[in-house]
Amino acid sequence: MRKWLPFVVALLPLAAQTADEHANRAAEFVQSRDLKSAEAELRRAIEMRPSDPTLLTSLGGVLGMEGDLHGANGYLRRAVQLDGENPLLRRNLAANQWQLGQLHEAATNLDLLLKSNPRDGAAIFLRGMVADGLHDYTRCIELLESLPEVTTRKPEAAVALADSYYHTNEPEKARAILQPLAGSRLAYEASGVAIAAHDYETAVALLSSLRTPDAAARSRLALAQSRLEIERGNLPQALAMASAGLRDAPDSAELVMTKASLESTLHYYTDAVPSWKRALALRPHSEEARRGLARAEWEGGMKPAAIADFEEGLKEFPHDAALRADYGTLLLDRGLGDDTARGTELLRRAIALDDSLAEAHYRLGNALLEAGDLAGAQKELEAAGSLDSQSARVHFALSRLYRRMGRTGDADRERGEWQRLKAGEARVASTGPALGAVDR
Amino acid sequence: MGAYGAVIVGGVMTAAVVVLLSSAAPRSDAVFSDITAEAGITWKHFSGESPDRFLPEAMGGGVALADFDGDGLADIFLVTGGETPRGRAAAPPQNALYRNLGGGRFRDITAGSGLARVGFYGMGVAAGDYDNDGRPDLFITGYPTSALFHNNGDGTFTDVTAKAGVANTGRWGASAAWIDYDRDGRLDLFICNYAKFSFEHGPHCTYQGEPTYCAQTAYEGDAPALYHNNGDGTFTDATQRAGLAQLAGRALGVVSIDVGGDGWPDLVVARDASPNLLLLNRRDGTFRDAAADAEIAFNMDGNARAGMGVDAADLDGDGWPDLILTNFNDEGHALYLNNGRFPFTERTLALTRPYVGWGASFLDYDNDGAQDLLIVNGHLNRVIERTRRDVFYREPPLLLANDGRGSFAEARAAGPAFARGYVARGLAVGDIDNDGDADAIFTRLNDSPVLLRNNVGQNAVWIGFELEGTVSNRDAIGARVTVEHDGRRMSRWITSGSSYLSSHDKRVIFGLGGSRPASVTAEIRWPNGRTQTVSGLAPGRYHRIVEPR
Repeated sequence: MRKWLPFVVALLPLAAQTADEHANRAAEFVQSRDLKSAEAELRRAIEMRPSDPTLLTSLGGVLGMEGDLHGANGYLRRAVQLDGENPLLRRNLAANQWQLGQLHEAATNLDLLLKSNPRDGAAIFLRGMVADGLHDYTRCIELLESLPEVTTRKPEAAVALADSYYHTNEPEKARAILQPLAGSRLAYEASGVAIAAHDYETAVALLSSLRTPDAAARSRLALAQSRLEIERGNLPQALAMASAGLRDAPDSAELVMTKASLESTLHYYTDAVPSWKRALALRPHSEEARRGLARAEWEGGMKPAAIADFEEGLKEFPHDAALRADYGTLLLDRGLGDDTARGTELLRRAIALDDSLAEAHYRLGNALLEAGDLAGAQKELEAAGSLDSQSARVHFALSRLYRRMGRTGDADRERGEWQRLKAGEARVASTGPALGAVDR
Repeated sequence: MGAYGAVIVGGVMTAAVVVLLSSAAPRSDAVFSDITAEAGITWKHFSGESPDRFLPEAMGGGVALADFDGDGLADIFLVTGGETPRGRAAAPPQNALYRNLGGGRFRDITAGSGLARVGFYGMGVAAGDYDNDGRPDLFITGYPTSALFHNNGDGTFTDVTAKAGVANTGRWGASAAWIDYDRDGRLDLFICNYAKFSFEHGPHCTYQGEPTYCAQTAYEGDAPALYHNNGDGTFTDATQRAGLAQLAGRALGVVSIDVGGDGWPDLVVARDASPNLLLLNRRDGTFRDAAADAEIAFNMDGNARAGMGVDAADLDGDGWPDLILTNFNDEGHALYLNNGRFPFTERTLALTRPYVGWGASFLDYDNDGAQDLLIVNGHLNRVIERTRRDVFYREPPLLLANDGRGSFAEARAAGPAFARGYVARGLAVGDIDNDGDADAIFTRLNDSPVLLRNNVGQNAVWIGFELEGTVSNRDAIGARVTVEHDGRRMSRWITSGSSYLSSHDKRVIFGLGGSRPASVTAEIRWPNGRTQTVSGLAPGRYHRIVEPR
């Protein structure tokens, strides 16, 4: 969670007269928000006194305010090199590094500050924000919660804290913190955190609170609404939302891919194909878009195009295991002799590329089970089970396998597990048209 | 050309009546010819299709082949749908009863039969002689009630639903099957109830603003019903007692047949996005669902498919009835080989993947001794053609030839009807011209049925049987007939239900291929479990065999 923060530049009394004059004039320009003139004055001052850490950090601060974080970083670093004991200089450097995404460097500087003064509130705040960025969510919560009313005084902290709560499986706390941000300048940013955590309801509430949403906010609202409807099982409504969002943001790859994916799921293949093509145009090197396109073509009865796209994908993404798993699965589904051999080979290749791909193990295991290769099926299905123990169908396949192996007890146990997981699956009635097979 | 009947009681030939028939039209080289028009069948199904797109509008209707007037010729009964709140007909929709005149001609005798209108939205039909008077009665399913019609034997039928107590009130009945599940010699009634439904609160779906039929999962499945025949014209609801009340699911197709080989009739139920059922008869008035053990309940991912039609027959000559269940497009119609133990072996027919299958029937179209397969197809939604390139609203029927080991391939020269697309639903099979081969009729949504005459089966040697139960139910539903020929042992069952919403001719035909035996021996296991062997049977004709008392 990085957010541009205006620097508090401390312009201290200056030793040399000419440099001081430039510095004083710079301070006046800063107060009148004339940053370009302030920068020019400070550069002149530094020409006169190049080793003055205060001047250097002041210029870094002004550059930061101008948005030139990289330019600022050099001056701030030089200032710290010249006066490593000054906490203000190190804090400014750490803040700039945080904003630049140099999180490890920022953490090092902030830890030094906290070591010498564990009660340095500004450092605690920054370190908390950096910890969130470094995915050290427990540390983020520990630090930010230690600052009284931090989320009121610094709403940015609320966003980081909510992000950490989501990641530590405390969504209720996250929602409670994000709720007051509705209607604030941070509502948009906060919605991003909620979307990343799949909390689309909160995201929709935050985005709907914006009084004058721009196109980006409207399209993000559409995305959140679409995904919320997906969660609710209302796929046609989700598709309508995604399509509406694309009217505001026709180049939003996320929306295009959501739309394409929904069209595929709803079996609207002739709609899905151009959507996936658009996604591929927006993200030419997206393995997901290539895969989605080829799948939609296949399932929409455009098999020559699908095969061409899959083959193209195999060349373009020689290490994409999921693409091979998808292609192999579809070939196996067709149930023709040559296709079966190639499908099996592709699944084996997918597993060789990524042994953690539960889907590939499952598909290959099922194919071997159908072919009567019980030992081979056992290896693959048990691998799938250890990678994805919550997959109902893996337990179903293991039950079938063990029954054939005469391991009745194991078969019954797996069937029980399948039944338990199946019963737990969302029982949301589909309201989509009857166009193709649905998973039940 | 063909022959009808030698009557045999207790293994002794007592009488022989030979009826010579001639076909009106020249025979084609194709396996089947569409003779609907020349047969004089003009009736059309009415679905009540409306902007509301209520699912029943897309699901009917059924057809029965049975000799209603006892003249030795299979007649035809067709079930219409009905009006819906915004799907009105110019004239009141009617069912149709066609009398078989012989020579490939039929006459509409609906008027005055008592069957024209039933007062509810019609779906399917099951023909069966529930009172053992020698005349097939009709159970017509539908929403929100169903009805039982007693055959008076004079071309008229009487609605006996209220007395019988089988109205199935408030429910959406689909296929039904007659089954003597307690072997008391009287036919009981099993009804597939599809889903909870109301014309007031139907879910509505669209594709790009156009109304479409919703996926079945938008409808909550219902439990089947089982009515026990009390023998006095009344039935008792035995659903709860039989252990079926808790089996809620979208049931569409059913066949009653002895799957387990113990002489007691079982039930196979095709269900739509609900697990299929294999209801094994526990011989105490209850059933046990063994579909999961047989591995016919779900696909290999553990998901229920969209089961619609079902049939059973021995496909590989091992004496065990194998199964076909028709499904939705992309799922493939599922063939299961029963090896006498669980699990069954699945051989889903890959070539059926683009089709939405409904009626299905095993039949030996060329009388080579192997049971082939006829499936009728047709999509639910017209918009399907706008969403993909490989699936069509109107789909051709499939005639699949069995190599004798349970492997199927598309039959050659099946006929022009197999190159056309239809929105087909019900399918019934029977020998309409008594020439010893299987003819067929299938229904079409909002259209006339298609009557297919078999042109090739009579060229091979065959033998046919019509069984009459005395201790067992008179239709002999549940009987198994076994014939040995050329070192091959062939079994056929007299089933009820099967296909989708429809009812077949209950006679069985054995194709004996090209070699004509001097005589044939048949082993009959009657529905009550007793076995009878009949020898010295001449091929090329039907034999009417009466169960010894």
